[in-house]
Amino acid sequence: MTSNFWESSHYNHWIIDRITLGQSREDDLRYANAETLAVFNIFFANMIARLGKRLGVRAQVVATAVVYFKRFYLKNNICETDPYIVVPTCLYVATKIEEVPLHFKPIATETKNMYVQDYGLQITMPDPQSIAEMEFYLLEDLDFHLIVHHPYRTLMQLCGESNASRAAGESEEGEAGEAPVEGMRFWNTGKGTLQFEETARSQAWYAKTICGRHIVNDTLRGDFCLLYHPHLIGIAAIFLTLVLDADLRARTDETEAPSRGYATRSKAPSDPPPNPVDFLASLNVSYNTVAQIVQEIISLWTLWGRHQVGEADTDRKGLQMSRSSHQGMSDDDVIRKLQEMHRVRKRDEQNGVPSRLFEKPKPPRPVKKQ
Amino acid sequence: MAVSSTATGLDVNPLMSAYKRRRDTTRLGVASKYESQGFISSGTYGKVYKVLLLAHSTAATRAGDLKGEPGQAYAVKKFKPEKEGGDGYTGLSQSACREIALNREIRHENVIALREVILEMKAVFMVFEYAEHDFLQVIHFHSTNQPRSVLPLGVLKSLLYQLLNGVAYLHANFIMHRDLKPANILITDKGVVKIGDLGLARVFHRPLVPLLNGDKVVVTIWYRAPELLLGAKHYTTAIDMWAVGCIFAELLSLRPIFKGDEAKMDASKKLPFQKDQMLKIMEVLGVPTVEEWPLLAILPDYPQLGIIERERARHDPNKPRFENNFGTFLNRHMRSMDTGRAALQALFTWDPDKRLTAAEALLHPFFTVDTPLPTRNAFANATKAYPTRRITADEGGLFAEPAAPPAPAQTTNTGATSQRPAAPPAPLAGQPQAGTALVGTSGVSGARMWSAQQQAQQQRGMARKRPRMG
Repeated sequence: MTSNFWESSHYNHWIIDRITLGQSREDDLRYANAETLAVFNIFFANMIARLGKRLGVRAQVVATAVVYFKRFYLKNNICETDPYIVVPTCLYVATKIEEVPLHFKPIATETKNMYVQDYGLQITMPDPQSIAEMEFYLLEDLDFHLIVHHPYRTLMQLCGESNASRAAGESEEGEAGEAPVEGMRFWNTGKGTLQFEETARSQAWYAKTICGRHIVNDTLRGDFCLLYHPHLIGIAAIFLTLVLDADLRARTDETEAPSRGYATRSKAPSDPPPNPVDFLASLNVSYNTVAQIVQEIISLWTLWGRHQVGEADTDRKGLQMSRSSHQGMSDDDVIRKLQEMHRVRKRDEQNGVPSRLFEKPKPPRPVKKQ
Repeated sequence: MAVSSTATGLDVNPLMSAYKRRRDTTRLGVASKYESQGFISSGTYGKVYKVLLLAHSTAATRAGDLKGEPGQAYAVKKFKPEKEGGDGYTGLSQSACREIALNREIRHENVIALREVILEMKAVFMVFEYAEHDFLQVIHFHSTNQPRSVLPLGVLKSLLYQLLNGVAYLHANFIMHRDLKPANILITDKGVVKIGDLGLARVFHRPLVPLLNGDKVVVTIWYRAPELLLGAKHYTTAIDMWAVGCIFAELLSLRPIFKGDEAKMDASKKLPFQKDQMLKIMEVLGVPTVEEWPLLAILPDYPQLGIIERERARHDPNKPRFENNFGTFLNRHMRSMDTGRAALQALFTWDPDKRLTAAEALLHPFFTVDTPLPTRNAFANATKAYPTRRITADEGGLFAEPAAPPAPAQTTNTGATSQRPAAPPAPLAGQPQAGTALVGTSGVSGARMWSAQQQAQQQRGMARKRPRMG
């Protein structure tokens, strides 16, 4: 289903629990510890975003490609496959599914440029043929489930929409696209949406957080899209925005006694927007899960802050440089580590150490709607 | 010139060759699961075959696949690679990707169900539930079998109602079909309508780029809505409803109501104005006015309407104006059906914003009040048994190596592009295809293979075609 999340392949087949996720990494964990694998996660998500930027595609296409990448590695081992070919292939398929198709030849060229210029990679560069060929294998491993639901839609629905923000969305990451509606089904407040002021609204995407990144985009660096429903990720992002931005909090507190500023901005002046706290409380969702997502986002930021991998954003690079006390992994460390994993795995393979090429088990019974 | 497939691609990558081998050895091909019954039809995308499910393959292969029954019939759609010749991978076409992505998500009684997708030998096979009939075939049966007969009202209404039911489902899911026409609307032997061919369909909820950026030409010319003909950059689900109106009319009169000739793209690659199609619509419905369609005047090709009117006045001084002849059509085909007339008229509303929607149409008194009411088995009130789908010899097509380059001689069938509108791509009748004007660059019709029988049918179809006026 393209609009009803509860009937989508995403919900029915691709939301897994943490145990299944852990099992899918058993082989890789023999060659790298969990933190290293988490850094790989960030590294490759950043790589896809970077390739997306080079090709001029929108954030939603990148998001879809990252989800494909993660789903692919639910069924396969990093130590036994070549992520450098999976990355461009995911983006190639995502451009087609998000209706902004690119040919695989420019993608191959740009991938090669990126590998050489940004990463200094010395590998067999993926040629166009191998991307086109890999597409077949990727589609199979994705079970041909290609439509992905992203949290952007929830943000758009919950935070309302104005022409100004749409215009901002045109030029900035975070534009919500064809992700499906799951919203109106379960919060039935009838009171419309949470009306952030324009600056605050963009902060819902942009929250002035540790890394100055969009929270939802940040979640792509973790396993959120495999574990949690997109609308809960979106709500967690809104929650974090409210918590992290003191200015915003001060302003929204005022709304308990509706201020004139709000009344004029509101789409329906006669119907003052709800207080954000009440509004979030009124959403019929599991706040245990939201709190868990929030915790994990914060952990992700901590991890991300420690390692400087695949960072295209020079501001952030500078930020990390200045924190010289942290001795995290760099791009080169990740690349070397990956080579080592492949080498050791090859040796093990020759010595007859089996890999249990992970086949996704039957997904757990869908969790109760939250 | 052909590069050996072992010299490129994943094989040269030592990290992927093991992965590839493992996947290749566990994959089950089409031939190991299905028994081919023969060839059904072909189009720009590839070919469709009828197959029977072998007893050992009834289980679902992957998550989201459908279970089957031993011996159950399926239609396998085999996509040909985008480019002819060569033995490399060319990437899945946009239309194949769309069809796979959408069909994997949707499930509705009136939309054709996808059992599974099989990738094999660089080709894509989509395994759909089998439908014995389609609208085009039913129309042809009534128009060609002597004595010529009309569709029984109960059948017509049921077919239309189920079609609308499927369209309403698609629209509720933010999917525009964009190629509704009789050939794409199938009917099972149980009389259940199944909308097929989502190759041009797309999700329209908050698109990342304007719809026009993706596909310049949508909807087969005879079923194309006036806002598309007049160059609208934004369009809505109302284009599907116009097509439904055309199909409704065709079920009544057994011939396309607006049978225009498609203008070809010229050397400048600019999209031509489809003058003849617009003319055909105006000959029946008259001239649209700004009063009934406020946004009409801002459409890019609006001035063309004036040109058509002036030409008419010059060529036919006796009848210098277009008049609304729709009443004549309705009197001829729906004399005593007031609600039916109203429903069809509402589908042919000029202004797309005021046009009947699928959800509204389902509640129309034509379907809910007036007898006969639509039936779940559309053939319940049929007076005659419709013929089963014609299956021709497979010629080894389905399980053979893909991408057999077309024999040069065969291109002569459709090569004469200047006369192209008369050449019907669908084997059963002279139905043009959506998007042909655009895809024309890579020999769009050259690859089509025709069996002798289909060619004969094609010629019959051409012979029936009304002669073009001047």
